[in-house]
Amino acid sequence: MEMIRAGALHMEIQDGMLSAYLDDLPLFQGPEELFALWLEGVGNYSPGDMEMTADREAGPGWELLTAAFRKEGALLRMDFLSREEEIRVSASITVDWPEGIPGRASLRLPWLAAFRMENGAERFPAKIGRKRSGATALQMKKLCPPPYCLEGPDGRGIGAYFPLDAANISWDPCRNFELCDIASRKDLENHCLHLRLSPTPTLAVDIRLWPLSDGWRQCFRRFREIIRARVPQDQYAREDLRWIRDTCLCHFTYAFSREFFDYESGKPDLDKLLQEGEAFGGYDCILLWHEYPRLGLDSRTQWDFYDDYPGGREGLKQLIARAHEKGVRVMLPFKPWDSTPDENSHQTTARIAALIRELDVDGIFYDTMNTVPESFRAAIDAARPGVVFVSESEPHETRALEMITCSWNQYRTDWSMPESNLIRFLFPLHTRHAISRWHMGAQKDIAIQRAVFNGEGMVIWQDIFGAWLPYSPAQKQEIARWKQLRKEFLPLLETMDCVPLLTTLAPDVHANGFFCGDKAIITLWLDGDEPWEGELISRLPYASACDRWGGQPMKMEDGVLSGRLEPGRAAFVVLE
Amino acid sequence: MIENQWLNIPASRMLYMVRHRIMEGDCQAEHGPVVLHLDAYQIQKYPVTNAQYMRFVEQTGYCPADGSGFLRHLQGGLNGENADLPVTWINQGDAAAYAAWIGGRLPTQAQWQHAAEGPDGLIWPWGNQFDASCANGDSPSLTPVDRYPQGASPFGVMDLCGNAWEWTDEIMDDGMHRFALLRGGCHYRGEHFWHMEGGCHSNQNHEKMPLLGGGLDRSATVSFRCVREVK
Repeated sequence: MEMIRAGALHMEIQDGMLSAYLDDLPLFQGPEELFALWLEGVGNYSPGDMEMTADREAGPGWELLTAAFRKEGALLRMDFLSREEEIRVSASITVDWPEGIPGRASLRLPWLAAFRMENGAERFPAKIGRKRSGATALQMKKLCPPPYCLEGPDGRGIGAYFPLDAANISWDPCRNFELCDIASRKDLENHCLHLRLSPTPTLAVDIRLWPLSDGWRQCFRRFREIIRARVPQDQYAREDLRWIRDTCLCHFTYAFSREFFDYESGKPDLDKLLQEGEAFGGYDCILLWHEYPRLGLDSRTQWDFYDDYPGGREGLKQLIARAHEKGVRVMLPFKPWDSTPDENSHQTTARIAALIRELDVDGIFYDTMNTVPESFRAAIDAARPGVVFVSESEPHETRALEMITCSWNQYRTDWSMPESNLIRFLFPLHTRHAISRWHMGAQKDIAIQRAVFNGEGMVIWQDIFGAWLPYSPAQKQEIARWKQLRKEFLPLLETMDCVPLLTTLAPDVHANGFFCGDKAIITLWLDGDEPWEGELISRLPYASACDRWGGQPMKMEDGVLSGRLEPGRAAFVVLE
Repeated sequence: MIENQWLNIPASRMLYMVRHRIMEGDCQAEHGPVVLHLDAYQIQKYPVTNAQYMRFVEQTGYCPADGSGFLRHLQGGLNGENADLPVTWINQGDAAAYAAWIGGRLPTQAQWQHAAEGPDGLIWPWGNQFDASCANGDSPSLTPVDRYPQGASPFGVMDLCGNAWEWTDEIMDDGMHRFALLRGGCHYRGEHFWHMEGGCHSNQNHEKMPLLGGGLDRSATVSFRCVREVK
């Protein structure tokens, strides 16, 4: 029998069968087959049918157990690398195909589907939180899917992270791709990796297994460290870009609207806009939008529109200066889809930089984009310090996350709560502004609660390219109150130790956690129609609890947060 | 040189219905179907040309209060090549001023559409099938207003489709926005999905043009023609 251990987790292999334990607690009922391999035109392979050899190596802080299985031109090598409280299980496969022509291949790991714990709670990479509707409560892009997590009531459990370093294209078989699509127990049990194997070794699967003593919180922290470690974060540390993190309310200023423009005088009325913004608690920033949907009427581009805007560039310059006098930042949009046919990226870069220099712009909003050309950052820094990059779409590549420090949180699965966003919890200094773009009526209430639940600022957007969808006076008051609350707790909301969709003690209660030293904030959402009162979350080492948003009674006792939740209203519980 | 000609449109009953690509935002206007009764009216056979508009400017001294972009294309003056092109870089007010000068006004949505589709409600001025040889719908520049005689409507009205958009007389105001509705399409086509849709537009299509004043209300692709009452 071969064994390998990492902290509380240890695994045993005997006759091609695998057993796994957390200390003495078995993680599945009995030994499970290590793998099931299928090769088209060749047949099925299981460990029992193959000749196995084992090898063991060790070094400072690591141990490597290799189990190699051979049969008729196929070699499957399974490696178990123990290091830093982790067992990393990978499989490399070599196949000499008949006549040298590759066929299809698939791999299953029966033991992966067999993880079980009594009263255990599971989270799956494609569905970390589940709404009553069945939709996922965590919005994310596929390129950094979170780990699978199984935890028992005492917090003990196992995390399984499936790193995905591949392009997001489903017709390109690659390691872990199908594992990242797992959204349910059924998906896990039916998992199957589709492979493209060759006579040289192909890395077919790569799983990082973590023993857990504090469940999902610990699992997510570990995942976050891995993701964050590969993204340079110099831009987030820049003092001159700090202002966007302090920006709670950014107004989307559609210029073709009386919200901003005075048709009688033929001029924009910034003072009126800002005055009306006081009902929201004051706009910190405006995004001036004066081209789309007018672009395309003739061959004028976005750059020409700055000249033809009423008052021209000088008028815009004065308007921005006026905003600065009022303490309000101004962003202008850039549209990658609108340029002259002969415009190259150097010219585009130069035009943006010139615009910033001339008008004293504080930020550029990258319309429809989730990444920016490399040349932008240096050129814009040379033009003016403190120019923030904001993208409409969520950046999900390393380079984009490095350069873009703010993006709109308009990604949603449906109109309902709860919804959290993975990027917000992986990169807490990456500012996410919640959007209510097409929300109407009570949907705007949901948008406000969504901002509170995630500890985010908002884009105040009332005129959506000619559709006037204003907030009600009561909603404005709510936003003003949220702005104050967010400001008071911003350092806590920006903590690196924030975890989405914590494990709760009530089935329809969802919670995000923001932990920093001896304080924490827990935001909660009841996904139900009737009030709930009772225990909410356990294993919280705090003494007192106060709901600063919903105003509901909360208490801490023996590490358990209890309290009352109302439907349709988030709680913002400060723990000390 | 094209001279002004009026064509008679008899009193009629029309089924008014207009559609368009929905961009983001609303188009707060009547889109039908509604049955309308139109009194007889006259409409200009061609869009107003550069030469005709310049004659108006010279004779009246017309000078808009905000001249941003006004006749931007005629800074070099009239010549043999541009005289018969539809006048552009005029806003709705500039167009209305000309119309008043010749005793007319801008057409309503229904008047423009009826002149284009005729009694049978044709999809295109020339028929129900698109025909690229009947209009300037995809080219780098404007063409003279009489270039496409085969594109005439059942009433003989010319150059309705493509070449240059045409102003209509309504200014829509929903309390928050002011916009006008353009007709006919133009020769220019923006390259991207997010651009306003250029090229030829059918008789039953209009395009919302948000107004902001200044140079943004004037364009290289928007012209006009006039109507007048039948006395």
